[in-house]
Amino acid sequence: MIPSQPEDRDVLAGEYVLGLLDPAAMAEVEQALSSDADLARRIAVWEERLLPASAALGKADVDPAQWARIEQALATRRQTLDPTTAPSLTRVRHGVLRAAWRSPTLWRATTGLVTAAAILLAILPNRVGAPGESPTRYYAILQSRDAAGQESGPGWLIQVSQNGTVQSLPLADVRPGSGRALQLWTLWDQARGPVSLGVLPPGGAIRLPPERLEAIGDGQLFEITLEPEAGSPIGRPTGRILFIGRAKGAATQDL
Amino acid sequence: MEPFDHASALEGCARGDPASLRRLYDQEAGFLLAVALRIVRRRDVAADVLHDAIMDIWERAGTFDRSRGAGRAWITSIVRHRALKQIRIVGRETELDAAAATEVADDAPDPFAILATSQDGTRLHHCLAQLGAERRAVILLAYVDGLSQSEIAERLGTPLGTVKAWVRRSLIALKDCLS
Repeated sequence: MIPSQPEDRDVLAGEYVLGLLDPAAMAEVEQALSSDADLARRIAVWEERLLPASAALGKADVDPAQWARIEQALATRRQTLDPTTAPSLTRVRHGVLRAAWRSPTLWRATTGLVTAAAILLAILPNRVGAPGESPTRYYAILQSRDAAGQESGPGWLIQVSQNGTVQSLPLADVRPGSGRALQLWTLWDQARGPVSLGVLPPGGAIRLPPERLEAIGDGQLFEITLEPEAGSPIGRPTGRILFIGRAKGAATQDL
Repeated sequence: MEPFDHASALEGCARGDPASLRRLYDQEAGFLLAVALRIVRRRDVAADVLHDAIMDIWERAGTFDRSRGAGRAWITSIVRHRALKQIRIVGRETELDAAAATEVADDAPDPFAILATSQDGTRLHHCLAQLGAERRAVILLAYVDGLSQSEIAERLGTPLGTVKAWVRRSLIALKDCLS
């Protein structure tokens, strides 16, 4: 409940700015903001009051390549917004399927089936770029990451075809150990967190049919984590990241 | 030197002018990255947070209202929200990686000490100084480091209920002192 006493409203606004509210209270404040101008003003005042403490941190060195990534994202966004030039990104055709894909419960329930399908599909390795396949729209070379968080070179290849099919191929020899499995995730939206693309079968090769995917964008994060054999029980990564990398659009010219 | 006009740059973004975003980025990317890095503690993750925050700024610039507050505070709040969401939802992976976390923490400046010498920060420094060490730490660990109440309780070895009470009393005292 949003309080009515000015002092309580200031404390709530301060706690919101400090990031100390639990998710439910935070959602309540954010919902109230659209109609509660007084609360919005109290929040803005806290943001200004505390700003010097952030400013005291100085500046960090920004990777010179970072702006190019932003520019590319801006361009992609403009394209996506304009239906005449929108690329034929894969959309889920059925609302039910989309909801199912987003539901961790259903996803957990179907993981076994998907894994079984993935194992079947894994019989077809090394088909990356094979003739007659849908052309590649995005590649993601995932870097191996050791227990100390250090990257040690390319370890996994993710390929997203024009028709939305995802292929995953290991470039490094990985044995998750008994009772453990590798799980592939992608991050569409920071706020929503990583979404599982499934537990990888032994050997790691997997093909996902296009209806399992939303639009994949340039720069989108993919990662593979170490999880219990049946996959993460909570629908979010629980183990450490073994491979991580971003999608990069394939060049359009012919070889 | 003319102070940078954040509000005008944001209004440019609201009109869809990429040059305005570029000016804002050139001016503030290093600062925003420092804010994100302090919270998420990892350079690659902080770079992602900065990227997403810049996209948020571009898309939400139309909702910025210069009569309600300063542009710099507005963009800072966006990057802090992104960074906090990152560590609350995705998890603070660095906690598993003590060596890397210490590395960042060791060369991390103490914002309270720097506030004393910064032109804009003297008033906040004065008011934080009046809170006493523990209650000041609660505010700065939350605001600067992005710690949750239970993380703060653990860090300070204080019961959660006490931390909650400190937050409330500190906010009231700070507001009275700063107004």
